Formats: sequence, structure tokens, C-alpha cells
Amino acid sequence: MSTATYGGDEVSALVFDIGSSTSKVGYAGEDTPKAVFPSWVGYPATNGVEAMDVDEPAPASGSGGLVGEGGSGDGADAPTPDVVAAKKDRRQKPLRYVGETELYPWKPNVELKNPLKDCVGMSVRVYGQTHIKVMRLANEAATESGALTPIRDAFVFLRIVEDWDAYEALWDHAFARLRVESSEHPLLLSEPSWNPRESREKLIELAFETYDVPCFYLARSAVLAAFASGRSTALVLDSGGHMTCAVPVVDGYVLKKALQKQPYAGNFVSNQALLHLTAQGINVTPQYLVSNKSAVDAGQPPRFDLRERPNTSASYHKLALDRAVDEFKETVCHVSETAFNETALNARPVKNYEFPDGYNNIFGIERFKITESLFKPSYMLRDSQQPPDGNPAPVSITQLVQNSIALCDPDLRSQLYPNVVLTGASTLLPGFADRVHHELLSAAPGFKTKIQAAGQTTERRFSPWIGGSILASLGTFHQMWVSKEEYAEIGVNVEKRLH
Amino acid sequence: MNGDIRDILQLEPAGDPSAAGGVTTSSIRKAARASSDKPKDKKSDGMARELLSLVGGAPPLVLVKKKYKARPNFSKQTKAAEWVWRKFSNPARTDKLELQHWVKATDNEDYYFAKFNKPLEMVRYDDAEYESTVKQLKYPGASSWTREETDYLYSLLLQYDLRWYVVADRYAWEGSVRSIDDLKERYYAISHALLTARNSAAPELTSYVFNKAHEVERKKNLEILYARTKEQIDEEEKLFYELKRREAKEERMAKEREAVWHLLRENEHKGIAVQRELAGLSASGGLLSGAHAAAGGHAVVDKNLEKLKKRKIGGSSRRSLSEDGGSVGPATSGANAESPGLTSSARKKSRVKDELHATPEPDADPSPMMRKMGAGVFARSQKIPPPKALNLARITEMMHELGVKHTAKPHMPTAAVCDKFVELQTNCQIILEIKKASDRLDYELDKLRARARSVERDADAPDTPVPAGRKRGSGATPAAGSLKKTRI
Repeated sequence: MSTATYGGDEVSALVFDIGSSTSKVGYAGEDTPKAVFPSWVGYPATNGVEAMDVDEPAPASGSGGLVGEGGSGDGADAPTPDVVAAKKDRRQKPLRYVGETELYPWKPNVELKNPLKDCVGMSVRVYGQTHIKVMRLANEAATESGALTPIRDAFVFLRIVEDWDAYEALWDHAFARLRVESSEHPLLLSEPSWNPRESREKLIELAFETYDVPCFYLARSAVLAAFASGRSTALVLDSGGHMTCAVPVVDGYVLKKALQKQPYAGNFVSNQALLHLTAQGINVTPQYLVSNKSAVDAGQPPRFDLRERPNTSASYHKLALDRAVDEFKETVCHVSETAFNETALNARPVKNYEFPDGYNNIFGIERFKITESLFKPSYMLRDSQQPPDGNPAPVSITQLVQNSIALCDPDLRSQLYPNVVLTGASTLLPGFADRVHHELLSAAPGFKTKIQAAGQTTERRFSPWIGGSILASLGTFHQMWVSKEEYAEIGVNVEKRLH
Repeated sequence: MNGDIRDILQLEPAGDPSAAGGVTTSSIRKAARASSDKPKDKKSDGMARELLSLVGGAPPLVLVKKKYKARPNFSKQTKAAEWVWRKFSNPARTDKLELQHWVKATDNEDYYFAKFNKPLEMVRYDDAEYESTVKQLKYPGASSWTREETDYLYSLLLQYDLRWYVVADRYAWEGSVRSIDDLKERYYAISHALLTARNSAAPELTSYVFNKAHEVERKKNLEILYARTKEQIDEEEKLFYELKRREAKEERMAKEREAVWHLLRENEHKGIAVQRELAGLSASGGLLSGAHAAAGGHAVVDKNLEKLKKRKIGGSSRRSLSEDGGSVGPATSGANAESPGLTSSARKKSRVKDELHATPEPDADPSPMMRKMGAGVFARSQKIPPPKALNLARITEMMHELGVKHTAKPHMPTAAVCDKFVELQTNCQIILEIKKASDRLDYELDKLRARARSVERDADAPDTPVPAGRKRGSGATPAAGSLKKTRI
């Protein structure tokens, strides 16, 4: 049997990795996800129930927003037959825009939503389990609840699925892109390592009730990232779009008590970039507002014509602006490989960049200053207009790693320091890995420190997905799936079995 | 001639053969060409013609002609193995989940990966055992555990297959904070008690021992070790290397001292021998030589032996054989057992005791020429050991000074001359080495003296002269003097 040689056994499983900014979906056993699309969902203003696009096969299941309407409903109710029948029946669903081709072109009155939201949770210890009671508090709501401030330490900051309707739209899109029937394929879903129980139960429910998958598995993304780098014990430093976290993984299990995270990652760097640009008097105009532009000299004000875009939603403009700034960040920004030294960095070559409106200039020390706030929070620029978001004070990324390891057993530390695995697209900032290594070397001189960073961009961006792809195609893994039968027997409590 | 040119130009032979001989030669050549077609082909493989002619007609072993791989003959092959998309159930699962995968149609065995499902075997208690054994446990923290909490611990251990770090991480019991060591202590104490109660075999028991105090102490020490700063680690490393360096230096010094001591002792012994020779107590032994014995003439050997015996018995010679430079042949006869390297007193004694049956002393040191003796015919002078290459030039110079013209080999290599020559060479070498050692010691002494002087100056103490003994030590025999001082 050929499977004996590499331990693989393909059962045509699907792997979903729905991140805070991009979703990665594909077939298990492949080396890259089949489809990568932004985790944003566009809602047209009319919001009428329209027929699905003809070229998209309508999934048999997947009624939008039937289950997730309540935000945080209690998950354990068994499916009544008529609800299932109704789901099967419905061939139509509200129009949603998902995926680059639908989402990025400008359309009037399209509200964009990200199903993952910032939440403030409160950890509540109940019999034998640590529960996190999610309070519906988004960023904007944080200010009104001034009462929370004195006991903020008791709160945890989460980025979890909030908008289940939009979340389902992402799944629908994923199944449509893969052109598969959800009821025919085992599904492995990655989840953040701090996903609270309620959220996991909800996901299990969604998979079995709405999508009728034959079997399902929830895997921690840090564990998957460690698997993707060939390790079962590692310290995973995941800096993605929204959250930076340092997660110790031992024998394929996340050590939750030692997990460290903070909401300072790629989006934060983009925001810093925007603040730096604004401070320099550079006004970033997103591509959709530019009808034509003409070449100008470096540093000169841009000459371009504004395009008429009536009824643009604020969320669309925000996303378009973010994309423009992201482009700038990914092209120009650099992390100083050693401690920030302005004179040394001034000697480094400068980079030229042209914005969508034609404005172009060279960037020298700014390239390093923007990213430095990840490693030295004192370099952080504050937005004077925005109210304080209630986030905890940031610490250096290296400090995050150290704090996490310090919370582990002393016997474990010598295993974790040589296995620091970098994952997430923010770690792809040039110089990032060098900086982390340099700082860890001086911070923990008693250990052998080694950074495991995949050289390939795709590997680093998609490592949780790749780990999931490996896991779901292992012959020995197939006994781990939560089957429909098991779910019918135990209900959402089956969550406890998924470590 | 014409045919040759035509051959070279690769033309057809002339249509009208002028002479019968020409026809024959060209036909022969043609035949030769035909027969030499094969080697020509080989030449195209890149082999030099000269080499080819050496190898001859036989195909060389290593030369493999490059060829395109033959197309596989599909017609002969059997049908492709059939693979089917088939449902399977995994015996490792408790439910009846059926997944599908591709398998060979002929493959009908059970699920291959089910055999890797190895559940953990844990020592577990039942109700009766809990009451009788676990409750009676008497370690310090035992009273804080309830049955429910112990059950909870065991459920976690089972779920996570005794992965202690994970169990400690997930452990959350209302009203109790337990460290990983608390959990381990509980589990190991229970397991040990259960196995003892069940009269289990001894070897298992030893693996269920956990010393919590020791573990806690070990972890505390680990923390301290990890908390060292960079400077501390560097300093420790530096100290470690310094220690290593000093140890190595000490060893080297001891070795050097040993060598010098050995040299001196040897020299002492040689000196006695020389004195004795100067006293002219004996002068013979030129007759017996290694060369004679090695030449293998039995008669000669026997004659020599007889002579030797006669002389020994007659007691006319008190001179040792070794001082003759090992003139007795190698182990061709039993009579040469007399060890040549004994000290003079021991030699005398042994000779008095038994002249013929003397056993060789363990520290017997045959003369250099004896040592080099090999089988076969050789010239005596050939066996003179060359001096150390390092000292060669200086030894040559010294010997020239002493009036020895031929420094590489004695001019007239009789046994006696050869022996003397070797002795001279060795003595030169010894003198040189002693000189070197003495120079080094002088230098060290100077250094120490200089340091002492500077220390004295620094201390601003009243001017005290260097101790007289030390001064004397640097005199005629500096090496011996100072060495004795240091050794005693």
C-alpha cells in the first residue's frame, strides 16, 4: 500500500482558514489554497432577496442569517425537521458580494462588513471550564462603557465571529469557488487559538446544521502553523491582519494559559503608515476616486481628476483606502534588523513610491519608523481624532514571545526558544525575522534561539491552511473527525473533544 | 603508393589495376579497414587512439556506450491496476462514519491506519480501590484532594494521553490551583499505591516514583540558570576556558619536566659508561656484530658464540655488551639474552649470578643499532639512526668541530667505529637538548627575577638581593639544579 510510505490518505476533505482579513479555502492534500479572498462581505442597500447569479451553483443549504441572527444565541437546540426542509427548499438567498471581483469594483450603496469583530469578553470561571462571556462591544461602543475602564484587566480582547450572517456568506462563497457540495466533503476549519467555547459551539452547529457536512474538525491555527513547519512543539508567533499572538504549542496542543496576544499587527502597521503619511501632508486617494492622472515630479502635489462616485458607503471607502495604504506598506516598509538607530538607518537606500493619484516621493527613514512601533511601542503615533479604543497598551513583539515562554514550564522553555515559528503576512515585512531573532538573542542569552521562518511568501501567508491541508490528508487523522452521528448524539458539547 | 594516397583521400581504388600486387595490397587493406571498423566506432566514444591501441580489441570494462533507453514494451505488460473510489470505515472510530478514498480494487484489507491507534494504558482505580488505597495516602498535600477532583484529573490525563504540560494547562477545578508538580505527585502517588496494593511486579513500581520537593527545587534552579544575564554567561564561559587553558598548561609543563628528568638520568648513566671506558677496562667486542648474525652463517655465529662464552667465562671482560654497542646478534641464538641496557651495578650482579641464563630485564634498552635490526642483508653503516632533523645541522657542526670529517656515516664502518659514531651522535644530541632546556630555564628565571625586582620596587621595600641559591641555580648545571628544586 503506497499510503504506508508517507502516511497520507486522501478523503477529499476541504480546509477553510477564515482569517480576519483574508480567507483561504482549498482541498486537503494540496500545497496552496485553491481560493484566497478578502474576508469582507458586501451588502447591497436594496437587500431584497434576489436570484443567485447564474454562473454560481446555488448550494442546497446555506440560508443566510437563519441561525446566526441573534448574535450569540444559545447553540444547543436540535434541528427541527421543518427548519431543515425550509433550508433545503430555499434556492434563493439575499444578494451578497464576496470575493475580489465582486467586492473591489465600486458599486453605489454597498455596505461592507467583516464578520469578525472586536469584542470585549469577560472571562468567567465555571465548573471545570473557563468560559468567556462575550459582550457585544465593538470598537465604537467601547467609549460609551466608561464603567469598564477600572476593571479592564478582567476583560479579554477578542476577535471572533460576530456577524454570523456575513460569516455564512463567506462559507457560501468558499463552497461556490471550490464547486463542491458541502454535504459531500469532510471539512476542517481553522480557528484562532483563543476562540471561546460559545464561538466554537456555534461553528460546529453551523457546519452540521446549515451545511450538513459529513464530518467536521476545528483546529487551532497555531497548531496548524506548527505542523506546516514540521513541528509538533513550537512557539508560534502569528502576526496577521488584526492580531499578533505568541502561542506555545506542545505536542500539537495549544497551551492556553501561556498564550499572549495583542491587537497590533498588519492593520495597525497600515494605520501607522497612514498617520505618518498624513503627518507629512500626503493625502492618499484610493484608486476608485481617480479618473485620470498625469506624471509629476517627486514631491510635487499630484495632478489628477477626481471621479464622481456618489453614494459611496463609508465602509467601502475605508476598505479602498486601506488597500491603497496596504500597497504602500508592502512595497516600502522595512523593519530595522537591529535596534533602531536613526543615523545608521538614514544611510540605507531610499525607496520611491507612487500613489494611485500620481503623487510620488522617496521614503527613507519613514520606512523604518512606521514599523518600529511593533517593536518599540514608544514610536507609535496616536491618532488625535480617534477616541482611545480601549485596547491594552502594546508591548514589543519580542516581549510578547518572551512573556509567553516565561509562562510555560521551565522544562519547556529550552524546547520553545529554538522553535519560534513565524507565520502571518505581517511577518513578511522585510527584516522582521532578523529583528525578532536579534532581540531574542539578547533578551534570552541562556537559550539557543532559532527562528523558523518559511522562506516562501505563500508558505508564510498560508501556513495555517497548509498545516490543515497536511493534517486532513493524514491517514491517522481520520479517526479524529467529529461525525454527524457524534454530533447528533452529543450535540454541541462535542466541542470538548476538539482540544 | 598510389593506393595509399587513394586510401587517405578515401577514393575508390583505380579502376584499372596496373599490377596484380597493387590489387592484392589494396584488397588486403580493405579487409583490414573492414576489420578495424569496430575500434573506429569505439574511438568515437572519446577514447584516445593510443589508449585504444593499448587496451586492444577487448572492450574496456568501464566504457559504457550511451544509448537511448528503449521504449517500454506496453504490449507485453498486463493491464493497469484498477483503482476504485470506495467507502471505508475506520475501526479506530467508535461511530460508523464512512469516508471515501481511492484504493486498489484488489485491496480488501482493513483500514491500514487503524493499527496506529494505540490507547494509553493507565493505572486506574475503581470505587473499592479508591476507598481502600487512594484515601489512605499520606503525603503532605493528599488531604486537599477530593474524589471528584481526582476523577477530573484522571479524565484529563486520559484525554490528553498523559501529556502533563497540556493537562496542567487545561486543568481548571473550582477552588483549587494546582501546579504541574501537584498533579504529577497525585498521579504517581496513586499509581504507586495501587500497584503496591495489587502486588504488582517490582520493575513497574520504580517508574512510579515522584519526588515533588526535588522537582520544585530543580525547576527553581533552572529558573536561576535561565535568568543569567549575558555578562554572567560570558564571564562563566571565560572562566571555564581559563580553567581549561591552565589545566592544559600544567599538563604540558609536567610532561616537559618528565622529559628533561629522563634525559638527565640517561645522561648520568651514559656518563658512567664513558668514564668506565676511559678507564680502559676493556677494549674488544668488534668481532660480533649484527651484520654477521643477520648474514646467517651458522658456523660463524657458532664460532662467535663460543668466543663470547669463553670470554665471559674467563671473566677477562668486565665490560658490558651494551657498551660495545649491542654487538651480539639478534635472537638467532639463546646466548645473547644478556640485557645490554642495565645499570652498571645491576649488570655486575646479574653477570655474577648466571652468565648464560640471564633473563632479559623488562626495562632492557638495546642499543639503537640493535633496535633497528631487521632481516636480510644490510650494511652496518646503514643502520646508524639518523639524528633528529631539527638538530641535524648543529650536530654536524659540532662533529666537524671535534674533527670528525664524515658526519653522515663513519668513514670506516666497523662495528666499533659505528658504535662510537652513534654514541657521539647521541651525546651531541643530549648536549644540545640540555643546552636548550638550560636556556629556557635561564629565560624563565630572568623573567621571574625581573618580576621580583619590579615587585620589590613597587613595594618600596629595602633592597633585598636575590637569594643565593637561586643564583647558583642558574650556574653550571641550571637545568638539573632548578629541576631538582621544583620536583622535591
